[in-house]
Amino acid sequence: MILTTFYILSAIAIVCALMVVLSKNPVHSVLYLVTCFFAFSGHYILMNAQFLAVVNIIVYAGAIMVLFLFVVMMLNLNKQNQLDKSNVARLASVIGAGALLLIIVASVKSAELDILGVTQLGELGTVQAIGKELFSTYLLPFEISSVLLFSAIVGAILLGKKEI
Amino acid sequence: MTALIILSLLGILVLMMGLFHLKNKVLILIIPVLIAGIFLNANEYGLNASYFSQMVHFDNFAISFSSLLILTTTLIFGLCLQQYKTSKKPVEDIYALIIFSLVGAICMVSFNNLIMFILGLEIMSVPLYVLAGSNRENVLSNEASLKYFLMGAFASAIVIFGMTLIFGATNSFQLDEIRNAVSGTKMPGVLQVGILLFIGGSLFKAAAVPFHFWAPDVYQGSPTVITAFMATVVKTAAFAGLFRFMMVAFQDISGLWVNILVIITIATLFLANFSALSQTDFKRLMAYSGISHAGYMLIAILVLNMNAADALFFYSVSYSLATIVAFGIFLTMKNATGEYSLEIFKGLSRKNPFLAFGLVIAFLSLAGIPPLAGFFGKYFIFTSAIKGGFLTVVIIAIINTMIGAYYYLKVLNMAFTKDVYHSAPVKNHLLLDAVIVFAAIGTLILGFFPGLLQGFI
Repeated sequence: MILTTFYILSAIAIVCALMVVLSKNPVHSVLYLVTCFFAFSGHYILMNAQFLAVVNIIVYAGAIMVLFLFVVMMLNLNKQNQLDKSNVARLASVIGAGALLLIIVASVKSAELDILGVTQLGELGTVQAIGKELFSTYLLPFEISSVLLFSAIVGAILLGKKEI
Repeated sequence: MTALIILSLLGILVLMMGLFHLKNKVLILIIPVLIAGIFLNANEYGLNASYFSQMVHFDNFAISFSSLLILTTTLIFGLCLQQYKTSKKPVEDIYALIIFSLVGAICMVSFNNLIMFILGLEIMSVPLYVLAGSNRENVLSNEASLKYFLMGAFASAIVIFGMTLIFGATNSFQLDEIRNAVSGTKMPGVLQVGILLFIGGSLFKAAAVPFHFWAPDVYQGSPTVITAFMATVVKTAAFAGLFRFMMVAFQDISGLWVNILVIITIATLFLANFSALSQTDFKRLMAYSGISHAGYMLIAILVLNMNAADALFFYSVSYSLATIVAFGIFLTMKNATGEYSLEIFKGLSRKNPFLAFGLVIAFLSLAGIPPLAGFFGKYFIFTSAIKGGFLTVVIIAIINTMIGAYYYLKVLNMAFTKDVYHSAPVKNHLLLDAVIVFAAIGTLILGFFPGLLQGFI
């Protein structure tokens, strides 16, 4: 049952991710990306990480993608005004990306599952467990990420404010 | 650790000072606090303490490098007055972002957990994306910001992907636990891919070939002090962070990645030095010069022992000091003439002997001519590499040093033999002069007494 769900979710995720890149209309791309994120949330639930699944939907599929959609619509990117890339650049990127895909597939295929440390996660994904970890072991990263967010806010204002 | 806390608070305080429209007077607060930060930081030397369930580990390596980063930033704030003294816009937000970026850099050199590394990388980068574009009227500055942001975000994503693969292979983010996990007999293929992706993403920040394409454009477009910050603090932090990670976690399995790093090093040295030969813009020249110095610093990562750590520290100090002198002189000349090309240095010796002397020290040190700090930086790196068995790389690096000397001496030739290019008066600024004098004397002293910084780490 879990395995069937896993394959269905993976198929949805891969097809949607491909459509993000392949579809001509940027609005469609964003919508496929939202679907892709929902499929990821499904994976998180399969791995017993409920908190991560919910946060993923709220933050990524909800807030960020809606913002993305607004930006795409406002910029009106529907027109076909993309620059044509040269064939050499296309060939190079196809070879580069293909080589990366090959290496990653080969390395993951050769990895043995016990080394990867796939164990039953149990209670690890619940809000309670994550909260405990976040405020004990990972307290410093949690606090210092406020510096990151703060500087991002200051930066946005610095770039966006009107001339005084 | 104290420095990390003080600097975070200083950033917020500086931002709030914007309320009083103090503009550049806020430097009176920033510079003493940064200097105090250096001493408080150096005070923890030898304590070897870990904080917050071993998220950061301030050993001598971290203390030395973070002191250097704070010192470099202090000197760059000395240049800021020259850059922003006529600015009508508030500058507090720019200064606060520079300080936040420094906080990230300190996290990068003191991390003991990969989470802290990636957070440090992002805290260092995000303010820089904004700072690169902080000159909003300039199209080049906008281009620099966008280019840096898009490529930098991509590089961060690659680092994170590498981290997840390393985590998958070793089941830990903690450096010593990773070390224990990889010393076993089984070596999953994902680990190697993870290490390579991690190296690639980190070398992007350090601007090594083939991840250097952003550097000339971004250096050229950014405001000059920000360029100086990128060339010194960011490069030092990226190398120190990468060195620390490889040294603690992957020293035992260097066979997995050392060949690729050798190729990257050789490519970096040749490409950067040959590209630099034809540059006419000062900032682009410094960008390619910075890439070539990344090549020399990469040799230290190849060797990866305590000797190399010492050599990397000495090299970072000498490179940072000389670069700051060069940028300080360029800033003065640019403000006088309003141009960016190398031509503005023509006839400098007759116009302003003081600046010309500073230029000689800076460029000879960058070129690696004895008896200046740059020579001993290269000397220590090369000797540690020969001891480590990388003789071919050292020979190639020495050939590149000779190629590099050409474009540094070309600029000096302009300054001393050509006619005066621009008759605009050069206004020396007391603070800027102090920075140039301090960094130049530092370069001289380290050249005459290179033992001063030996055995620090």
